Amino acid sequence: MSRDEFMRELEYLLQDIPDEDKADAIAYYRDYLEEAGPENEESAIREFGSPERVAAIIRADLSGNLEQGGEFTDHGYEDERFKEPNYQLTPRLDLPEEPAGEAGGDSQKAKGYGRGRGGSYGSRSGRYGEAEEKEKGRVRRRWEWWQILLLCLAVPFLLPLVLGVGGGALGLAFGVGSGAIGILTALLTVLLCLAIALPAATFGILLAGVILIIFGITRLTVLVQGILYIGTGVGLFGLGFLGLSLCGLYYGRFLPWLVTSAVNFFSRLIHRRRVTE
Amino acid sequence: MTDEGIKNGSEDMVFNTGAALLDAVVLAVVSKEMEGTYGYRITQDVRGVIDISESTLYPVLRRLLKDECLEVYDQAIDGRNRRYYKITEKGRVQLKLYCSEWGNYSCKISRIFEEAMI
Repeated sequence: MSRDEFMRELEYLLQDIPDEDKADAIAYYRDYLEEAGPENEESAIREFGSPERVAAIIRADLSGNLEQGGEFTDHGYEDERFKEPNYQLTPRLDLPEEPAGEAGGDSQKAKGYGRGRGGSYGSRSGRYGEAEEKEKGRVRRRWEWWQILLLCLAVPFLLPLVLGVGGGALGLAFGVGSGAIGILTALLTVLLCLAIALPAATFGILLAGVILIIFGITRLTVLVQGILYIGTGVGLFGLGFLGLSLCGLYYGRFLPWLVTSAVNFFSRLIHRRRVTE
Repeated sequence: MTDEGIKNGSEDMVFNTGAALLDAVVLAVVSKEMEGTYGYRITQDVRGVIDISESTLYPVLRRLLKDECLEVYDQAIDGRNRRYYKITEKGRVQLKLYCSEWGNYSCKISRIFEEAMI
């Protein structure tokens, strides 16, 4: 790489740092190569490593994290971070933080070794993004396909129920009063109602389904009527199972979650000082 | 190295980071030239003592400038500007501290090596 090439590249890579710092750095390296003279120029450029590496050092210095980096070893002074080819790059100053998800997807970037010319250099945020992605994936995997299917099927049935309950809760809340205690009472009431009503309705529907199926079988002499009864019964039976899985979610997931978050919330209120330490 | 380092340097370990030792070496090299010296020569002089990459000194010189241990002036040489680095009064105080610290430090290390059973 010739001197001109090197300087052009370096200038290009430093576009994003403040003008004054850039001019300073460019002048230093230009002078340096000038002083080295034609005979030493090539070896100096070779030892600079690459324009990317020099730019990374300049940028790391600007962001103030060069102070603690270097180390004397038995073969001189070196900074592990700037050893070729794996030197870490300080993020460009002009680029906004990459959206976490996107950065996480590209492992090359997330490692912070991205050496693409003028491209967006992955930073620490990349690694966070990866972790977040993993977390999301874990949560998402909890929903099995059949649960999703059931939920989709349930929407038309549940919508009126949800609206009713929601409306009821709102009405109740306003009825009790606009105070916080009123709302809390209303919520508790709704929770309690749900706790009783959900299993009750489930078993009611299941029972109705079973009865209708049996009733339908006894009416099979009038074929159409019997089949109608059995069909309705099977439908209700399915609805009952949906109710069962809802119960499972309510008791198995929602209530424990509610209790632990409430406990966490109050303990955080009490031990606030300890948490902030 | 900041003012703080100058104040309590005698109690603390000054050379706990490589950066401080490199600062000291650079200050010593620059202090030898009354009229100042320039980047390429500083690098070559330092390289006579310790093995550093040619690109290492730019941030070090910048840091010493920022801490007012060095000052710069430009001079026309062969129809272009050459930037000269000169040690300041503050730089000399800092260098003196480094020298005495290094004396203590290397003395202790030498003693323990002499006492070592080989």
